[in-house]
Amino acid sequence: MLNAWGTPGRIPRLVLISVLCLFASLLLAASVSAQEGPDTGVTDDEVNEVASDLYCPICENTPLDVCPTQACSDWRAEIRSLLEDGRSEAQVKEYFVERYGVRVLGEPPRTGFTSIVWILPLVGLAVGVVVFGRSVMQMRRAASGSARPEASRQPVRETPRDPDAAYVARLEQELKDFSL
Amino acid sequence: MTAILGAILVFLSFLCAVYAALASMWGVRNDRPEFVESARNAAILTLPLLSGASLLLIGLLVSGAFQVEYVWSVSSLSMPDYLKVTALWGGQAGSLLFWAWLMSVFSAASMLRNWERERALMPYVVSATMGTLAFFIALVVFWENPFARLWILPNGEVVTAIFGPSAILSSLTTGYVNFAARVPGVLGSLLHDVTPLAAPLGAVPARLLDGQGLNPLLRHLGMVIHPPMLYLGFVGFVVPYAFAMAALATGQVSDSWIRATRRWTLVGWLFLSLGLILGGRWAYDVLGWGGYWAWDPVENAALMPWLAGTAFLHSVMIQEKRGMLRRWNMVLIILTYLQVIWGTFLTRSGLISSVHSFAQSAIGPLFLLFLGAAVIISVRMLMRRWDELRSDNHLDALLSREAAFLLNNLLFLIIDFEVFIGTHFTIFSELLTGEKVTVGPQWYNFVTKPFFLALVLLMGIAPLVAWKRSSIERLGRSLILPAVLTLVFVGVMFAFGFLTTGSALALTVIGLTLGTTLLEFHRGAAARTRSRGESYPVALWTLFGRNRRRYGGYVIHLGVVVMAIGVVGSNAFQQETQQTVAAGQTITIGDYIMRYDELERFPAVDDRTVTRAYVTVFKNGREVGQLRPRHDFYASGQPATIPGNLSQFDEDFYVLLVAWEEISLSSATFKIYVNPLINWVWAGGLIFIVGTFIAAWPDFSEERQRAAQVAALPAAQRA
Repeated sequence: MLNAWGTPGRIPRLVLISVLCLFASLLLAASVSAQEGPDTGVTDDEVNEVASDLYCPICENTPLDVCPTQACSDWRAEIRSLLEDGRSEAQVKEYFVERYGVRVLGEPPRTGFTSIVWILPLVGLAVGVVVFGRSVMQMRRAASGSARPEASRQPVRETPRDPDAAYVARLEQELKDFSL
Repeated sequence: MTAILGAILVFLSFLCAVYAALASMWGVRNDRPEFVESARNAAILTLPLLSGASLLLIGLLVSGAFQVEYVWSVSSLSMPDYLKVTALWGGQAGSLLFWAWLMSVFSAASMLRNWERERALMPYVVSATMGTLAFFIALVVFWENPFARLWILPNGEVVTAIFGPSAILSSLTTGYVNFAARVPGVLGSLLHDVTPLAAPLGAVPARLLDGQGLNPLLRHLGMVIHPPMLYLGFVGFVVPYAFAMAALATGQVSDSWIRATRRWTLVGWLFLSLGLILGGRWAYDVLGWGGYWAWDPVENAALMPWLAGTAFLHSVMIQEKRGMLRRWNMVLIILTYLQVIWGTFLTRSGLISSVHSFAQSAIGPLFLLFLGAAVIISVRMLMRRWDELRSDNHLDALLSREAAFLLNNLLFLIIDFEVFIGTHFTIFSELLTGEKVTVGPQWYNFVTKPFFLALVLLMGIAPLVAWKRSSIERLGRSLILPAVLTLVFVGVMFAFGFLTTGSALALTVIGLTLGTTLLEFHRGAAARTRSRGESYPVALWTLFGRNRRRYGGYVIHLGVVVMAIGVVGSNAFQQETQQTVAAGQTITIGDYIMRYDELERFPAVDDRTVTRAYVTVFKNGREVGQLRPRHDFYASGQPATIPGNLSQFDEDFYVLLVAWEEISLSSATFKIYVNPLINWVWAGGLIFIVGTFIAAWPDFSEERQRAAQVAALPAAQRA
């Protein structure tokens, strides 16, 4: 869009034309009766913004903004009228929670009973890390405790004289180990 | 007649599976090899029997035998023939039969393939696979019989029964029903739900002219292929589990079971991955929400075994290479198997209702029973051999390939756990508080994102880390080039404001991994070029040929990276708008202008009313295509929103017809998404699948060699 502005001197006229066009299209748009309710300044995008975080109790797992059923269409109309009344997004959500329960929220609240679903992943992470750490420690301790002739025979660092040959040799060795 | 034959075939396959499971176990315990042999034959026999039954059911579906209840419930005259065929897995009873059929294919194949080489393990493999199969056939035979027919009683009541009225069978059935009515509790209701054997005397066949038809959302090519892929993936994982159980039972807990099942694991994994990717594509094309993954419980049901299976797939490499983690691998394959059964249970029982749970029934308790038994048996077997499953080796260093694999396992299982929590939390909540809750994508994205990102990072670093012990300097040397390139690229993009902080972080990780993965191909090929004098393409080709598993694996990694770019792009930079316009008017979104041309409304095949909009799409002022988003309304009352999608290399223009002026058809409401880089998701999926093929493709020359070796052994040694 920027490159369409042309020389600086022409900007005002272009702005004027654009504004006029915008105004004209708004007028035209207003003349078309909107499907999801009368057009009163709240755009469908604003409605969807709120609706995308909500779920109706009937169409489970389909967010309200994309649900094609009549029930969801009615809900969207309800959101629109609430927004027109000047309610904020949070207030609209609160309104639906009060009427239909927390299940309308796509994201479970972080307080109350549903806080469990937020805490459990942390518990899982903690348990996982502890189990992981402990088994690694155990495997390490066993390693340092036992004499490892195998390890001393095979130097870990490869001879740096011909790294390519060494790399190919390692690839071939790994291939042999895996072969089947 | 066909229906009766089908019911008999299924019943015979049930007898075969039960006999095989028991005779095999008994034969090997009592040293009666002839019983093991006959058990194997019975096990293989389930394949032709179930194939016959499935083909007969397909025949009934295609010929429109609507007296058969299943045919009536999932097909209709107006459906095209290919959908009638695929209606085999369009409903509960057929799905279960189909599952059992695929299971019999896999178990027969594993018996034919591994019998000679894994002689000691095979009797238990027969028991484990046939035990699982017998359970599924039992569901088909007794509770969800797809061959049951509809009968009308003299009083007008409609009943279901396999056979028509006959003096002996009808009185037997009545006797059974009276008996079942006296048994209390869950057992009573289970007995009561058994499909009646024969219709009461005086009943006449219900002459139905047409069926209900398939759920409209399932009438899509993606949905036609998606379930078979998932089921193949599911049954594919049953084979390695059966081998694991056999290893535990025989005490041959060394690594031969891992070697025998490596390819089976990859095959199961391949199909499961394919199923997940195709499912995503189906959602994108049909469900009309502009996305491909919604963390739906049924998607999760397939994702969970995939996550555990992927951990297993990686972790077995440590066992093969270093003789470590034997216990852990057993735990992982058991976990994968349980999640396979659990996943089937979730999709089939309707426990968590979701857009996918088209099938609901009373088979839930049976699944729980089977699962409980599987848990107890698996854990007991594992405990018995716990001490024998010690590691041969120890962890030499924290910076080693072994440790990296362990970390990989940790991350996969954490994600698996989180998905499990999210999927089941609504049940916990309902049980404990009586209130259902929704755990939506917002939650899943939030909790899994860090771990997925960590996995991608690990995927870039782990292949550079040597086995046993690696040094920071060596790792640093390999990382420096990709790291610098990525940081410069992301830095510039960020500086010019193309990226948010989150997407910049994600792209840094992805870019680093992309770089190291490509470098890994290059290093191998370049080393070969220099030391063996091969030309670069030849070197690359030989590299793949010589070690398909390793480089196939890297190709898979590459696919994941490409997918990850697509996921970040389509999530972080998606644009959307919804507007109502009159014919001839336009909607502007990003670089696009869409003109709404006209709307038409007409009745179409499959009893639906189609409302279709014609729109023209302009990008930067140039016409780039015409789209026809539509809205199908089925006579059953179900709507479906089919998007119009203009797919380009860099982004998709995806438009939905949301609503329209009913009478004049003059104005319409559209929802438009611009999904950047979404094609990268599919392209990455394709690379992923190609990589899996490279890794899993059997090496025929090697097999001939091995077969010759086995044949050369004296017979006594073979047994």
